[in-house]
Amino acid sequence: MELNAKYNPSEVEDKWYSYWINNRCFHSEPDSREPYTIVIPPPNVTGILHMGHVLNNTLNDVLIRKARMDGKNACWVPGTDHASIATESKVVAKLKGMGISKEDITREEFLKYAWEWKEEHGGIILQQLRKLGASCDWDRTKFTMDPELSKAVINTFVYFYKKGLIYRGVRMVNWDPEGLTAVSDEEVIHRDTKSHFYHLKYYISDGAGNPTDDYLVIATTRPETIMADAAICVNPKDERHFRLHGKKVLIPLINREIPVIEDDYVEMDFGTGCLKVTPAHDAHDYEIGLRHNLPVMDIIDDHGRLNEKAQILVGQDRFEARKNIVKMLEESGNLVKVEEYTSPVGYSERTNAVIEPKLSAQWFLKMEDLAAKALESVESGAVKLIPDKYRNTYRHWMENVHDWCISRQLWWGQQIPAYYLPDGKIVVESTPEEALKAAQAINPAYTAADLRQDEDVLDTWFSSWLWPISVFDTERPGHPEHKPNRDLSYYYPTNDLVTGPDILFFWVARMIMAGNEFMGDVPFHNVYLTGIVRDKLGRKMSKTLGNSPDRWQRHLLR
Amino acid sequence: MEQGRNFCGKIWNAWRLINGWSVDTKAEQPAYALEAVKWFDNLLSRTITEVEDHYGKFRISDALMAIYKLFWDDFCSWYLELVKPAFGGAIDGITYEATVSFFDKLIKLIHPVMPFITEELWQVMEKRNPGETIMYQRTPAAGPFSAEFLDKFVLLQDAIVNVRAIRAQKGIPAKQVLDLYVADDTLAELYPALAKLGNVNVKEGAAEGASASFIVGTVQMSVPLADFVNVDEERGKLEADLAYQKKFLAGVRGKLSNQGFVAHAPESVIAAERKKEADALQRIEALENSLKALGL
Repeated sequence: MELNAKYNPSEVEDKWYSYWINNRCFHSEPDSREPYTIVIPPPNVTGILHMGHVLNNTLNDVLIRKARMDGKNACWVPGTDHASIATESKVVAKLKGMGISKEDITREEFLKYAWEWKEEHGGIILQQLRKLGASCDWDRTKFTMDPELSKAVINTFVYFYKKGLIYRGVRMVNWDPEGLTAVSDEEVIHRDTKSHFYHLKYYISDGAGNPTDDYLVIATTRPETIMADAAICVNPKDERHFRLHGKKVLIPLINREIPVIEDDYVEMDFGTGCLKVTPAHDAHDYEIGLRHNLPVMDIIDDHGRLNEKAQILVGQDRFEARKNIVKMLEESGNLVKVEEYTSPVGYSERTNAVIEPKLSAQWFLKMEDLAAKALESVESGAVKLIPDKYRNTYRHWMENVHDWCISRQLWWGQQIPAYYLPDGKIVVESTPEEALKAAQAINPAYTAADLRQDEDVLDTWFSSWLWPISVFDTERPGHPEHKPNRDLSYYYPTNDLVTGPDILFFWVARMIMAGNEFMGDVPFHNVYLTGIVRDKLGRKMSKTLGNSPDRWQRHLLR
Repeated sequence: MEQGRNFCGKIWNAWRLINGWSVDTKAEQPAYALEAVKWFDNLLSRTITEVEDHYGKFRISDALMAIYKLFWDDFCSWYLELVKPAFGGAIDGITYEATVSFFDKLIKLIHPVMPFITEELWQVMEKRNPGETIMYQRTPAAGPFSAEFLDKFVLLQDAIVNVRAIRAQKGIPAKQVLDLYVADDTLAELYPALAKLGNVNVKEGAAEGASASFIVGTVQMSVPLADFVNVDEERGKLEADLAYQKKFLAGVRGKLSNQGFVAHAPESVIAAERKKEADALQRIEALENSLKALGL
């Protein structure tokens, strides 16, 4: 048969991809052959393919096609992730463009827009994968917010809550004043930033609220929070400050009296040896406040602006307020000097806003035991990390894990199945009906109207960590006693996982935890960690930066 | 990315070349073609073994590089060069079938990496039934292979490279048949292939008169260049090479006569030095012969 003189890629590719689809070449069902399973790292439903996706999925496709030709029953499960923060911010931006503010609409209306967005954009990234020739079993495509998958997430929450591993706490969290939600420690990027140390005089009180001539000097980078000070702290062994023990001082400008307290936390050889303690606005100060039973005053609102409790500069953005208060302190004679100083400041990975440590009621998952088991999975070789060097990073994280803050102040996601009763009690159940039953067990007079469901949703990773299980069987997460269905029995554990090292902790480690907990077995045997494709400026090529190539020459990429 | 596009083109054109040959099923298979098929069969088996090992250790890019090199360098640049029929001529049936079979295995190896073009070619190579696809064909399995035989072919390739270099240096066209003298029969079983690829008459012995010589492994080879060579230039090169080899030999001998070295070095290291000494002596002898051949 005569061939064209030149190979024409687009003609050939479309023809054969359709042929493969029409002949269901990519589809897999359990049979007597040895399975070879890969679950796709579900890309965010928010946008389009970037080079990282291309690299990972090219590798996935090579492995799957090779396994198929080796005679194995090859199954590559595709899907997308609802990406709570990322998608919500995209939808909010779209609404703003339409002249609608999220504050003006109801949750239901917002979700309608969000689902429309998902329908419009959720298909794009998967279509692009097809163009690359990806031999995914498209019949098995899943979305992390498919009703059954969402149910699995809810059941998982209920399971851990009843096991005593999920708790509600008032904690200092990393608040993103732009995204308007708390973010986990891992989503905070620390960057060295130029700040200033402002040295301020606090006059010692005569006991009746009047200033004496004596004063102490504190240094702070956040002069705009002095109105929330609860105490001044000195080290009890510091000779310079013996005279201050038991005294009170006055906060400049508002002249509120606060006590001097003693605590070893203060370093004697750093700065003035006097530390202003502001429990609501600094994680360490919060700890000191707990130790000394100090009152907590929160003067910054969700948007990073000073509220009425501040008394002065009310309504001003924190950085505006800082500029203004420095002027005021200068005029009042309380400003001693200003020092330049570079220190690491936390920024939100998603919005780049400066993180505001904030007291907040959030839901947390205890991680200690889960992490210990997940560490064992890798140490024992049950899960192999390739290249091997990542074992050290992994071990470090698992040995130093914090409890996982799993609640997000967003609407797009799985709504937390916690129901508040009028008396302040909380019932956690998978459905409103079961919650009502549980409430009535406490007080038979309760009706559905008495229950108020928690407004927050769960962290996206709280659904993606179930992925290797939930794509096959949505009944199993949260119910390890449940008999696995045919697919789960056959395809789980999966074989290889191809992903980037940037989500080794966020996703890979957590999938191992969920796998151990609900399946008693690891979710995959080998994790192949690919390099992050870097653009010329060395920044991670990502959708947020908008530097994805927008036209592909598909055959060139392989 | 450039690599991707060029590789596609290479694969495509390789098939067009093979497919365009006339096949004479009655013709006898030439000796050089028999050798070529044996060589590529061995090489394919060894490469498949290496590729499987790479895949098993997640060295995916190493696996891909091995496949790429096998196709681009070995199959296209050497194998096809060797077996292709003369212009206007036909290829024998046996070699043709073997070539198609190799191509079929190669595209199956390549398929996971380049699914589209390999499917296209697999579908045109033979009549397929509806629904059939290269996707479900079996990964080619490695057969036995002889490392020794493959090493011999590498010597042949070195020899050809040298002959081509001589042609280039002296401006001798490829069409011009040359005599190639081979000092020993190490490569005897590959003479037909050597002859075809180099367009040479293979003779045993050493060239007389002005000639260009080179060493492949430890086999001295020479090409008489009575009409082509500049004796002075040639002698200069040989004398420089001889001086280098003598210095090298002195160095090795120095080591071997050093009490401390011989007493403390492991057996394998001493054996390696002894081999270097033996090889250097052989090369020196060969160079001195070449100089004699020039009439020095």
